[in-house]
Amino acid sequence: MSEGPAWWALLPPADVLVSCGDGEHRLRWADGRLTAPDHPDAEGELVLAVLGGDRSRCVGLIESWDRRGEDLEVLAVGPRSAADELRLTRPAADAPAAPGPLGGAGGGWFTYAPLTGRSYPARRVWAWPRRPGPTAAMLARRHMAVAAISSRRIAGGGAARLRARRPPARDGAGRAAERRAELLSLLALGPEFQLRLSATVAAAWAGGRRAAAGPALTAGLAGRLGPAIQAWQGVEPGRVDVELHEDDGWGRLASSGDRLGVALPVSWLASVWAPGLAVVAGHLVVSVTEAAWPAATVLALPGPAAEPVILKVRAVDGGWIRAEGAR
Amino acid sequence: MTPARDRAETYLRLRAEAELRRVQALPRPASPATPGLPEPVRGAARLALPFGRRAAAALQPLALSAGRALQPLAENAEEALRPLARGVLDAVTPLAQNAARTLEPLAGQVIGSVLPAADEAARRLHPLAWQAADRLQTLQRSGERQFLLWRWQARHATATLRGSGPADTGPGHEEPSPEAGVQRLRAIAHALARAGAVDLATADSIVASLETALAARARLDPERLFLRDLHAEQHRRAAPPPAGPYLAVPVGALFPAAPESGLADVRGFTLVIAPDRAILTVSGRLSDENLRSRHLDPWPLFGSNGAPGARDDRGNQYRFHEDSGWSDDENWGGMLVLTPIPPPGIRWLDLTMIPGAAPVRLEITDPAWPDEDVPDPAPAASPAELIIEAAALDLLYLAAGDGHELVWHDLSGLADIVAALDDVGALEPARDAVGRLVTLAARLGVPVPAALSAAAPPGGPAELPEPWRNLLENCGRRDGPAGLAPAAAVLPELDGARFVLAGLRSDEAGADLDVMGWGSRVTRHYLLDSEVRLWAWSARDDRGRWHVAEEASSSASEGHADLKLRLVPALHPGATSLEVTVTGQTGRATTTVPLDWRRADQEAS
Repeated sequence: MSEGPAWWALLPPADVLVSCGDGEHRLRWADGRLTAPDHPDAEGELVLAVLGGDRSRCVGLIESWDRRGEDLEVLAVGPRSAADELRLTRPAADAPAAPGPLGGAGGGWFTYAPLTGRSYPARRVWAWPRRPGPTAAMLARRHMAVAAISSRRIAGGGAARLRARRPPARDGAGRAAERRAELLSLLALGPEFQLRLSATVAAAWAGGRRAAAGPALTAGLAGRLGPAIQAWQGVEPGRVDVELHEDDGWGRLASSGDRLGVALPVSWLASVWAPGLAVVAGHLVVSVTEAAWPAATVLALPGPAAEPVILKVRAVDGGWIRAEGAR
Repeated sequence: MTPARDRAETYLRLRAEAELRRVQALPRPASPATPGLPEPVRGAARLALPFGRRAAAALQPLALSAGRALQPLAENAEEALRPLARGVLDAVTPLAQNAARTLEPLAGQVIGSVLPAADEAARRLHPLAWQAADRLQTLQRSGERQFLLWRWQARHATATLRGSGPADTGPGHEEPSPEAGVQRLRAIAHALARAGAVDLATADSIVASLETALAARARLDPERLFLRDLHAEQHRRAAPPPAGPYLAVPVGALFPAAPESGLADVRGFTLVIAPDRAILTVSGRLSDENLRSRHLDPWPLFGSNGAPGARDDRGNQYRFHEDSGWSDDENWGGMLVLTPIPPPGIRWLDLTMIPGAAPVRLEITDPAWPDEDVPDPAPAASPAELIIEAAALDLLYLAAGDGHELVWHDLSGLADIVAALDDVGALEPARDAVGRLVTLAARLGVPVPAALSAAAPPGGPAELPEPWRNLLENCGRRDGPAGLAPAAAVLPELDGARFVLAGLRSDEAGADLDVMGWGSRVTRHYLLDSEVRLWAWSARDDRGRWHVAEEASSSASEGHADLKLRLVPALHPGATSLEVTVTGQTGRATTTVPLDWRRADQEAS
């Protein structure tokens, strides 16, 4: 496979303010990395955090970002297109270490959707006395309560205080909730960061070591290529058969009856889809050959039966247009 | 990963993608807080909505299978509310119409929770709703059409209060909700896992990712995610039944009932002694007074004179405690816990159900309790075949009863599963079973989805197995004997579960079989998150009549469940024994119990 521009070449730097401690700090993504400019010694903080010291929210997010850099769950949950809005928002301040239904302790996120509060005890009315078998909801509440108590105990002092700064060890359900909360906290950084995290994961798997990840990558590609093809040709995503392209070249695309078969490399997600380049000027972009943001040269298909052509494109107002004077 | 597994996982992930697209095309539900709603109605809504949403969160995983369980409740709700509605309808119609329209989208899955008219309505509905919750939690299987039927019935009930008919003419034509879509995918995922096409952890993770994606888009209640994690954890930590001997001792004795108990008499069915508990199943007829009032004390045996007790041949004293109970128009039944658990080796127990009365001696014939005599389970059919056969047993169960629910029976969920199995190349061992199911459905007049017909082997109708033909021949029979039998038997451990039969009550149309189960796979907590039916029950009496059984009710705690199975069609009037078979995922276990009939008021022989 030929070497092209770096996968982040068409993703400009992005900044976001997050609540950290008593104030707001800036997180910056650039050149494929997330950094915390307001924490000049972020690496030192990370080391201290590993040793049990305080972990600031910024450092925690960077740590989470790095940890999720190859996580295929990002592709399963993250956006499929620019129009695919994730209704997440960041907490207004550092969240207390209280587990909730959405995830584990601290660093939480919440949705815009109306929440269904469960702060009141559920009454169970039995027509008859019964052995008090817990309902699923009771088990969930008990689990959360136990987790909360565990967190408080851990934070009690002495050596335990050091561990309090780390995610508390839980059983499977607690760990799953924590992992989910971590992922959603990253996605809650905003659409730009959602795309960049997705691109990071795709790029990580673009190197060819994807034996067991094939199905997840195929689905991740299909979920994002489908809307692009629909925008390009009006073909319903359900009628697009997607394969991972593993060989040299950009891939292939062929129609058969009312279906469209497409094979693209997983790197397409990072270098083409994430920068919003999938469809430009009526063309389906299949690869990037040169990149110097905001300008790029791409290989693109004008139609399903056509051979790819070279296009010069330019980023303008959050979108891409064909560069003036280009063929 | 093998190519076959790769194919199955890819299929499942692409289905999840398709489901996400489908849900995103759905309109978002309207906000429940409509400005301008009168304060009394808003107040009622505030009361109803938390409950409704809480119940919905707990019930939605099960709601797909709610139709049959909720039908009586829908009728009860309507019956309970009609008098109220008549009285206040004129006054509250405008409010009720507004409120019902507002609340339906959110609370439509919980019958009765949407009535805003008055506290009286809430008071009447609350117990019904909890009954609904309880019944739903016992369900093991699902069907999208059944869910739609349930919702349609809920709307029908609320429409009655609004003084108008339901807008839709019937279930089955609505776009499934996000929750229903997740359930549909989970059903497919679990079926593929059960067929060995994909491992269960992968299947669950794919469904979990879809749920997370939907929650992140405000399309799914985030609370579901934590419950889902909890259930997944319980699946992973599936605990076997407690090790040790299990004993089922037939009792059959008729005890006098205390005058103030409200019962005419009490009969002991079976004493079950397990490593972790000892339980006596009992049944009683309501006295004439209670037949009139129908307000029986839940625990008539535990009156002011003290609790029932027992003494063994070693002089150890025991006490009975309340456990669970039920009643209908004529009968009361319950399970009494005996504490402490009798030790192995005792020879008899003297049971004293009324303090001061003469004890009834219960011989424990085998002091060593060697349940190793129980035969090992026999191998079952292929996993895919079992899935199809379970669906066929559903049809046979409905047909063998009164048959009216066949009208609503929907095979599209199964067709989805069959199509998935076919698409990933895992259907072949079950293709003949599909043919039999299609033949059976056609014979019963149940619509057969095209995907199901397409998966059946060519060559026309398949020959139905002899038990199925027998069941069909005896559909609707009402010649069953009326009586009680201890039906005490211990089944061998199967698929990490242990079942004990603990009593049979026969009537003209069928029979109720009390079953106790141990191991986390028998409990409702395990079943809550499972779309795959784990157990199938069937029976054959010694006069050659076959029966199929389904769980009619259950009471479960962690690692244990008390089940009441309903057997249909009626037992043969001349039957003297019953061979009961439970089929799990890897095998089937069978036991035969004598039908030593006692009429309800007949003294033990």
